[in-house]
Amino acid sequence: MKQAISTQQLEDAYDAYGTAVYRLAMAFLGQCADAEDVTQETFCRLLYRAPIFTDENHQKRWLLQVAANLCRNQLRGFWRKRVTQLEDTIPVIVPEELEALNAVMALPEQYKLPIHLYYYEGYLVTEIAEILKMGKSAVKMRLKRGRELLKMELEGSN
Amino acid sequence: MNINDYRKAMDHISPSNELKERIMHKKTTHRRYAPVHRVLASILTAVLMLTCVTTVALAASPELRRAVLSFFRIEEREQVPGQPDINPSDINQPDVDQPYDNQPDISQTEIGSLVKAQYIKMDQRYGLSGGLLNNLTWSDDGRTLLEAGFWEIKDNNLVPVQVDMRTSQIDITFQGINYQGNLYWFIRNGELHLFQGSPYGVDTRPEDEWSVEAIPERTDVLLLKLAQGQQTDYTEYPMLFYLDTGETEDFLASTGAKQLEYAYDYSWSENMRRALILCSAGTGGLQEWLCDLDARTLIRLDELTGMGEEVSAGFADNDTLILTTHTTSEENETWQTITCYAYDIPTGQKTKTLDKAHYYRWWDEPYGAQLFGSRCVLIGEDGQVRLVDLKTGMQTVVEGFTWQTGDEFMPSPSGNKLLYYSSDSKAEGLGISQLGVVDLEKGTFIAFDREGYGNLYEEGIGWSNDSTVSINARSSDGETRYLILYTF
Repeated sequence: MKQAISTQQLEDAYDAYGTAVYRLAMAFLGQCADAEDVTQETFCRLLYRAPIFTDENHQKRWLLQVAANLCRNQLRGFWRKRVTQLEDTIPVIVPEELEALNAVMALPEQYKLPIHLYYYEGYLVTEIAEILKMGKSAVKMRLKRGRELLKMELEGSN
Repeated sequence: MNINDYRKAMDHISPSNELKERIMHKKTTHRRYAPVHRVLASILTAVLMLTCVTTVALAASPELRRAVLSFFRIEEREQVPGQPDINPSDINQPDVDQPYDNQPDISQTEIGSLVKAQYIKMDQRYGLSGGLLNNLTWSDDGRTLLEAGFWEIKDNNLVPVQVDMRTSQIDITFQGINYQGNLYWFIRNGELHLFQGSPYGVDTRPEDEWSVEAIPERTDVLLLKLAQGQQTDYTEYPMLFYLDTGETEDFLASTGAKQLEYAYDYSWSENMRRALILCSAGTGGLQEWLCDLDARTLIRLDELTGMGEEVSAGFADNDTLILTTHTTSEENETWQTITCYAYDIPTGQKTKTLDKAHYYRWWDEPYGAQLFGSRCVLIGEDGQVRLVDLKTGMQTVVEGFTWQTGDEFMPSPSGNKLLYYSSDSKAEGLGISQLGVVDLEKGTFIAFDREGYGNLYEEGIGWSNDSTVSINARSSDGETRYLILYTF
């Protein structure tokens, strides 16, 4: 079942979750313009295709799920030479942070979103499985493999 | 660098104010949403990859034509060793005649006289290849293998195995990129064991990698895959690499495959005379091509089959494709139903073998069809399981077994068996509470319950070869690693 949402509801949803959607897209795509495209497309779907949400967390999970799908699609659909280096497109940050950001963004695509959703958004494995539409064991394995590939210290990682 | 650096860095990233204005403007102008036609490319890719993995030996078997397959649950439960309850050495007799120093603690048991379980408790991580444990020491740059030790498990001991390790130099220039590195290999019991050094050459970008893939039943030649780019511009091209001579052969040269843009995934017929090649299609999604090495033809799958651009395919045998189409949800683009056809390449004859089956989605509707190459597991809403041969359409009912939430299947390398396991969602790791194997050739399905799986953090499960399943685990403090092998 779908619902029609008002301008105010759209604005509220964007204010609440727009940044999270954009950051997920950035983690996956690494490019501001591409992440903006995905964010815009995601909220268009909220506008025209939103299901009835049981609560705000449900709405956020749905938005991230749609964004993740669009990212995967986008990744294969981009005009492929349109790639710039990450350093050119994000605000200036300290070297350690940039190194960490680059490390996650350089992961193979199957590991980036589980890592981002787990360590940045703080989702549980079960929730990540729902968002990314994969089995829990697959999420666990991708988190494990992603951690191994990152070779990043995970202290303070809950 | 730690994960908090990533969090801080990500906190700096925010969309521009203009983006909000653009989105809100869309709302106020009531611009219609333009649907994306080629959605769920990732799921399609996952299905294709799975198809690729399981293609080689998934030819429909006459054995599958039986209508009923019986499930047998072994009464005896496995007692999983580990901290703090049970030490492996407490289960069976203590080790004798240590063949070498620092011997891992090994024990074994039989479960219901049908499954042999081996528990290897070790202070270091061993690799596992072709039934041999290994310990490899690489140079700091990862390119040179400095030391290699191999062992097989006999009784409760690791017995060193001498192997005739060979080295091949990879040094090939393709499309202006020089691919370099070392490949180490040996042949044992007719099986090729491969170990690859870091692929990075001195003058290559990090993303320009090469990798190798064994060809089933061949020990003289392998696939050398040359990659360029990463993520959005990733491209891969395969060549044959002859181990004895070090020569490469551009065996797709006469087919035109080299001209395909952004080809990144290849699946092969069993005789390797045909290939399905998946390409990114610029702005629109994916294109899949069928390449015939003998006829030297290359044709788009949608043109070949007349089924539109959403069709995907895998090989059932040398002359038969399994074609899959799907319907998607308008809400969030998930697959709703799948339909499969057996497509005879020489004649172009198409036979529907699965019709609009509900697509399995464990997170909201955990029933329906799961694709495993040319076979499919069909789970009913009541948990009843049927196996479908997607070449013939023959369905086989699994009697005495009910699918539960948390259950999963995983195909063996040959595709002739399915690993069955059930994960306890409350466990820290995988928490595998039940384990079993469906033998599609013999028409058997045996499984057993596991107790004590919470003693260990179980990190991974998979097939080591077509008869052995392995579980990787560690103690809760991470100090001790375990490898558990099950031979069915």
